[in-house]
Amino acid sequence: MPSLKDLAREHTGPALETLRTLVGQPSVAATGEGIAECAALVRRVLEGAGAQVTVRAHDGAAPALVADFAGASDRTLLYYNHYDVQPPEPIDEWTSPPFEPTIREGKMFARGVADNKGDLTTRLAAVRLLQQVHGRLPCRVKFFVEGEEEIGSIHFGDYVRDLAGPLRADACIWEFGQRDVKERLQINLGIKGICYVELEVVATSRDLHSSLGAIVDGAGTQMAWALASLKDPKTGRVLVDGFYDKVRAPSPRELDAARALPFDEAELKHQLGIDRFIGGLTGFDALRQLLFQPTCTVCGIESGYVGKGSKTVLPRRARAKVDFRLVPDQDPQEIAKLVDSHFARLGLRVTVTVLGPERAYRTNLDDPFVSLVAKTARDATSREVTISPTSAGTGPMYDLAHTLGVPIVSIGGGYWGSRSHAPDENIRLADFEETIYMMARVIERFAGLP
Amino acid sequence: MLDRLVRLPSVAAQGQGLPETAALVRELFVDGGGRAEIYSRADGAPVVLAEFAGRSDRTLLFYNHYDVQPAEPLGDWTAPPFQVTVRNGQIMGRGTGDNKGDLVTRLAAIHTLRETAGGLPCRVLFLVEGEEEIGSVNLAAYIHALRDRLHGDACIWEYGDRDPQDRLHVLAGCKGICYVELELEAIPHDLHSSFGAIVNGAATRLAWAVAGLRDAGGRIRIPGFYDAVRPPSAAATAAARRSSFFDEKEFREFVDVRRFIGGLTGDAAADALLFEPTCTVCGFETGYTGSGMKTVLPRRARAKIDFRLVPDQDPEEIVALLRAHLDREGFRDCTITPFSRERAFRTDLADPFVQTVVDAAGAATGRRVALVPTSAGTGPMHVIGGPLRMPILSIGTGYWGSNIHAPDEHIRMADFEETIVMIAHVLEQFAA
Repeated sequence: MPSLKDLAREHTGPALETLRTLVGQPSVAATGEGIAECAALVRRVLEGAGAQVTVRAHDGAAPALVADFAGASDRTLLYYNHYDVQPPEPIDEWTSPPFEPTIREGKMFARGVADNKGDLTTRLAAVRLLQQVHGRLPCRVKFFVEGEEEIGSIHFGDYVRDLAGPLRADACIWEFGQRDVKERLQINLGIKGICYVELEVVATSRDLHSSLGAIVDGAGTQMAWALASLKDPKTGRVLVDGFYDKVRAPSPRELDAARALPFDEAELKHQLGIDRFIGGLTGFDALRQLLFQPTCTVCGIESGYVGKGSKTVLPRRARAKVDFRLVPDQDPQEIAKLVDSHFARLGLRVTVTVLGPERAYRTNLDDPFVSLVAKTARDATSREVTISPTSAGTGPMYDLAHTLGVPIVSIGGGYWGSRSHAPDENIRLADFEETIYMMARVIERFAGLP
Repeated sequence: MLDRLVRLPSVAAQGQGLPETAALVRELFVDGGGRAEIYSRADGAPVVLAEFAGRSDRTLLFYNHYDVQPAEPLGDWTAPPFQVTVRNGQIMGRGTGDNKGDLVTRLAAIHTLRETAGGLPCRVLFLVEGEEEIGSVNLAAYIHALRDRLHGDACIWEYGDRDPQDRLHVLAGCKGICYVELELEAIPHDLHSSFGAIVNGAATRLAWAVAGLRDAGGRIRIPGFYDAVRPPSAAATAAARRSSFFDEKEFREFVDVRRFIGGLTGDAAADALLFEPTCTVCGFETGYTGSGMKTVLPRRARAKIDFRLVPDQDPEEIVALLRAHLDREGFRDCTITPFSRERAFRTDLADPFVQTVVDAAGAATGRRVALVPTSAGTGPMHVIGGPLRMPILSIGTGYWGSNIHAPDEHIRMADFEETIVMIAHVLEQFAA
């Protein structure tokens, strides 16, 4: 009788065909291109595998889907994925067209093949594999697939509350995971939150001749002061009063886990193109800052004349975008209020508009689901497994974890060269097959099978 | 004469019609009985230098320009921009207010005096350039080359306004400028903004650099910046007071600003406007500025900074001081690209020429005269007043509503006639 691993190999071909169909359908959340079509396609694929599918389409939002696969037990594993992708631009930097999946050198290239349609496909393939092997799934498996991840999952919280019943589960596997440059498999248990704000200063009722700068502070100057006041240049510490009040310090277990992570400082500096981290941090201090400290980053500024040469204008208006990455238990709406008060205290009239609020979340390292996934992944892939208590990035984990009360672990089919969000996005076919087998083993182990 | 000039669209910014207009200007000088020559440089618009002999050798130099601003937006004009239209007592057309109208009133004054029994009472020189609207980029080189022919005792600058209270403005100086672009490239490529935990992007760093240039009280924080500042003379301060050129309430309402820099009010604000150097952010651009959010740590940021200077600040030295300041503050990687650089100029109000012009202008027009010791704005006065060592005053034919640089540029017919008389009277008194 063929082993599960052998059967996984047999399932890889058909799964790749499914993936071809999915990535052949553009679904760019930023422009809305193909979103409805892709949601319908995902629904057909899920139903084709035997799921009960619930589709919700809130006003002005991309549809979200919940797929429910019945199993031998009611113990339920939930997968979170998204069917939307980043824009393909710049198109001319792609070696093959972004929406025409192409296989070369053992890799499949296409927009969304890594982020995140490939992961959706490996998980679905694992379900089909187990259905074939066991006749029916050993436990219940659900999928929650949204279409706005690449634009900040703006309606995610609403959908989760709306679908709290259909989404009920005991544990959740998050959307993605990578193999690092040393081919270790990364497991991630958390994300940072975000408070992304737009700032606006309107200094005068009209643009003025810049000679009036002798007595009138223009918007450009005031915005520079406002932005400069947010963070200490020497230490990188955020200078907004109360900003750190709610910060939950990493637990000793989380620090230990972070310490156990491979961290190649020289390699990271090289990759980022810098020779010094903020505040001169080195070694583990830098990694601790990256994972556990909140941030304040200016993402954009626009004011006055920015063309060639000189224009002597005192600009009436300035706008800026600032990204605060948050850690548990900071509340993005509260942070925005603190920033607002900070400017008021300095006598600066700055309007603060929150664009993307999300809370941070970290799954408890001691949750048995974490060790179950880690051990299963190690056994299934024979890879060294690293467990990161959190990513430096952001995602809507909090909404799901908080509403459903489930532990969340992120693991998947990507690798260090997947080029997510960039031209020539790709996955390795060997990783794809490995991930199908790994996910099948995770479901079996989760269901209590040996 | 004015119509012939206006019909040539001498737009310096577009390099249009400049040699043709210079030729016409020369022709008008020769027709008026003067000697005139055109001087050209390989990479600039020609200048016209004209000389009218007079009864005495005392010499007055007029500075004018024959180039104009672009006429766009054309749809906002109610009369064709490149011809003179007389309507409701107004003379309309591009260049009527700035600066062809003034050139014509001066020529007409000379013509009038030459027809009188005594003739022109003094010697008169004209220097007419064609690049004023693009920053007089070659003027200094022309002055240097022609310096031996530009000997004179005093200079009348290009223009002058009547204010809403119908007072005639006599302007005696202008500020200098040092306009620079700062560019900071913090990292080789844009990064995901989650790396903001350990990397400072260009946007944050340039905001620090720019914010550090000036404090909220208005004091510029570049060490040495104020070292060369010559305080205004008592006469200049007194003139500023008397001229009451600054209507604080009206200005506040016009720009909707509640508080001036440093909380200044009244005379203190007026003095700052005329006599204090400035540091102003004219533009700032970095990272993502479209709608919504993009989580990027920008690699590069740019800002445009305008320093208005007062006597005796040297724009080249200001660039050097700025460089040293940025280096000291940890912004060695912030580059400085200088654009406009001009020195400030102020005529000594004790010079007898000042009283002569103020009295003559007042007597000829019957208007109250506001002697403004310096403009808050910039012009190339120092280019002439510096090397040629002349007192310079600016009077002319414009008024507060002349729409210079804008659609429907015009002057008032009555002001035009009045200015011819006024210039003639100034010439007589100057020669006396």
